[in-house]
Amino acid sequence: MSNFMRTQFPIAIFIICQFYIFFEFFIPIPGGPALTALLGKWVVGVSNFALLLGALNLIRFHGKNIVQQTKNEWYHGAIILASMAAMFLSGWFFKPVYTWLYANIYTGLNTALMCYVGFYFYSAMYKTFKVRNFESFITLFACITMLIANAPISGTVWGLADIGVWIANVPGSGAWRGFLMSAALGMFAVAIRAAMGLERAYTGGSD
Amino acid sequence: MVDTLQTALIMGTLCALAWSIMYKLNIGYRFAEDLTVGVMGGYILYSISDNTVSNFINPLIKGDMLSLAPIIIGVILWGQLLKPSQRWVARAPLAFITGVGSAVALKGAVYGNILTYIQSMATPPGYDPYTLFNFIIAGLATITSVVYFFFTVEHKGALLPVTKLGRFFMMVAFGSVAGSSVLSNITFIFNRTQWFVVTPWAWVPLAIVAMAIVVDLVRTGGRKKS
Amino acid sequence: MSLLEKLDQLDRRIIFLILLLLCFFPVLMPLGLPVPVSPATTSAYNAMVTLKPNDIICMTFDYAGGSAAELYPQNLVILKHALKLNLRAVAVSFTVGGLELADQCLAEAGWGSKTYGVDYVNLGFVAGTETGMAAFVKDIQATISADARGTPLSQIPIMNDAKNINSFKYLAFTTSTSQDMYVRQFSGKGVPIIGCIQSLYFSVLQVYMGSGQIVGFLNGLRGSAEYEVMIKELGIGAISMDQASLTHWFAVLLLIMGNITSYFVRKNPRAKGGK
Repeated sequence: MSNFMRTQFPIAIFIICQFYIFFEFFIPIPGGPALTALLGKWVVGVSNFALLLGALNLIRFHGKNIVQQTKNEWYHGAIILASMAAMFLSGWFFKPVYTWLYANIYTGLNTALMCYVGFYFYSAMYKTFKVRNFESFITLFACITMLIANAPISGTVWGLADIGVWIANVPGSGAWRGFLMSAALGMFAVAIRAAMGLERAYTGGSD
Repeated sequence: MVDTLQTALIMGTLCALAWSIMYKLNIGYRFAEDLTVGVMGGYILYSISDNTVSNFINPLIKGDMLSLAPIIIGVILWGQLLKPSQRWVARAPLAFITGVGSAVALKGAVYGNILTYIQSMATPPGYDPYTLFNFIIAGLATITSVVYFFFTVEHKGALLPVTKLGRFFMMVAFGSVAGSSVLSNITFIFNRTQWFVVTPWAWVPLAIVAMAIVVDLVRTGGRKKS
Repeated sequence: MSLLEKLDQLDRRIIFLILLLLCFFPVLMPLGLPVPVSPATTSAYNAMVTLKPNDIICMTFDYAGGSAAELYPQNLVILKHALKLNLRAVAVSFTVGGLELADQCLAEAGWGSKTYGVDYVNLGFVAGTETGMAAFVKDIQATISADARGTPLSQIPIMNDAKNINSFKYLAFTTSTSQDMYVRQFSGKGVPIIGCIQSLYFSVLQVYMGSGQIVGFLNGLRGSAEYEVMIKELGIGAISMDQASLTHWFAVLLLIMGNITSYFVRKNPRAKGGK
C-alpha cells in the first residue's frame, strides 16, 4: 500500500489525466468537454497553491537564517521578510501603500536592477564576443547585421537595415522553425516516457 | 500618501544604489536588491491569496462544493514543505497538474507546432524568383536544423553535411537573436534614464552617488575591485 | 603597454559610463531621428483598423515589473488606438504581476473616460498558465468567477458579449517569456492574434507570422514606436528610438573594436602570455 501510494498512484493519476484530456480532444465523449473544463479549472486553483508554495519557501528559508542568526545573511533575510510583509499586508489593508510599492519598488526599482543585464551585455560584447572560427564569425556577422537593422536610423540608408532583416526573416526564422518542431517532437517523446513511468521528475523527488 | 518630491528622492536614491553595482558590489546595492525581492515575494503572496479567495473560497462559501476539490488538492501539495521522508504526499497533486498541463500543451502542439509548419513549408507564399529563393532557404534551414537534433543516429556519411548545414543555420539564428536581445536588455536603461530626466529632483541622489564614486576612485587610485 | 593592449584590457566601467551618457544624451537633447515602420507592425495596425465600433478586443498582461519597460508601451499604444476606434476591451493576465499593470495601462490610455464593466473590464489573474489559457479559450465564465475588483462576471455587462475566445475580434498577447503556449492555445480559432513581445523573440514571431498563426506583432520598444508613428501619437517608444539608434551603433563599434584589438594583441609576440 505504501509503495502504491508513493509511486504507482501518482503515475496512475498522471496517465489517466493526460490520456483523458488528450484523447477527449480527438474522440467525442458524452460529457467530455464539461469534465475537461472542470479539470482545467481545478488545475488553475491548484496552481495558485503551487505559486504560494514558492513564496512560503522563501519565508521558510530566510526565517531560518534570521532565527539561526546566520553570519552575513540574517539581515538580508530580515529586509526581505519585512518588505514582503509590508507588501502583503498593505495589499489587504492599506491600498495606497500597496499601490506606491507596486509602482515604485516592484516596477521601478526592479527595472533599475535589470539595467545590470544591459550594462554587462555591452561589456561582454567588447570582451567576450571574439571570433575564433568560421561558426563564431557567422554568429557575429548575424549579430552585427541585426544590431544595425534594429537601429532605426539605419533605415534611412538604403539597404543597410535590409540585410539584417533578411537574415532574421529567412535563414534565422527557418532555423527557429526547426527548433520549435524539434521541441514539439521532444515534448511528445517526454510525454510518452512519462506515461510509461520512465520519467518521474514530475513526482517531485525521492523517498 | 507619499508626495511626488519624496517619491522622487526615495526612488532616485534606490535606483542610484541599484546602479552602484556597476562600480563595485556594496551594501547599498544589496539593500536595494533585498527590498525588491521582498516586495516581489509579497506581491505574489497577496495576488495569489486574493485570487484564491475570489475564485474558490467565495464560491465555496456560496455553496459551490466543487470548489473544495482544488483547495484540498492544493493544501496536499504543500506537503513539499514537510520533511523529506514525508514529501511523498505531494506527488499525486503534482502528477495531476503535470498530467493535465502536458495534455493541454500536447493538444496545441500537434497542430500549432508541427502540422502548421509542415503546411507552410509545403506551399510557397509566392512564385516570383525572390520569394521562391527565400522559401527554399527557409525550408532548407528548417529541415537541416530538425535533422541536427536526431541524436539517436550518428552524424556521419551522408548525414554529416546535412547536420553541418543545420549547425550553420542555427549559428545564424543565434547571432540574430543575440543582436535582437540587445534592444531588450537596454530598454531597462532607457526607461530609467528617461525617468531620471523627466522626474523633478530625481537626479539629485544620482549625482550624490556619482560624486561618492568619484571620491572613492580618487581615494583608491582607480584600482578595480570586483 | 601599447595602445592596443590598453584597449584590449579596457576597464568595463568605462564602457558602462559611455553607454550611460549615450542613453542620457538623447533624452536631454532629442534628435528626432526617423523611425521606419516594419511590415509586422503594419499588419498589427491593419488588423485593428478593420474592426467595427463596439467590437471587443482582448489583451493579456503577462509580464512582471522589470519587463514593463519594454512591453508596457506596446499595450499602451494599442489601447490608445482601440479607444480612438471606439472599441471595447477585456484585459486578463495569465501570470502574476500583470493584474495592476492592466489597470494602470487602461487608465493611462484614457479608458477612464469610458464606463468600467460596460466598455472595458479587467478580468484579473488566471492561474495555470497554459491550462488557464485553454480553459479561458473554451469558456471564460467557467474559468473566472469574478473580475479583478471581485465583481461576479454575471454582473458585468460586457461579459454578456464575451463568452469565449470567439467573442473577441482581436487578441493581443503580451509576454516576457515563451510565446509558444499563446500561439498553441489561441491561434487557429478564427481570431486575429497579435504578439507584443520583447525584441529578443523577433525571429520566433517571424515564424508564427510566416505560418499564419499570428497576423502581426510589435517588436519590443521599436514596435511600440512604429505603432505610435502610425496612430500619430508619439510617446515613450518614439523617445527611446533616438537612444536605440545611438546605443546600437555603439554596440556594433564595440563588437568590431573588441575583435580587432584582440586579434592584433594575439598576433603580437610581446603580448602573448603577458596578460
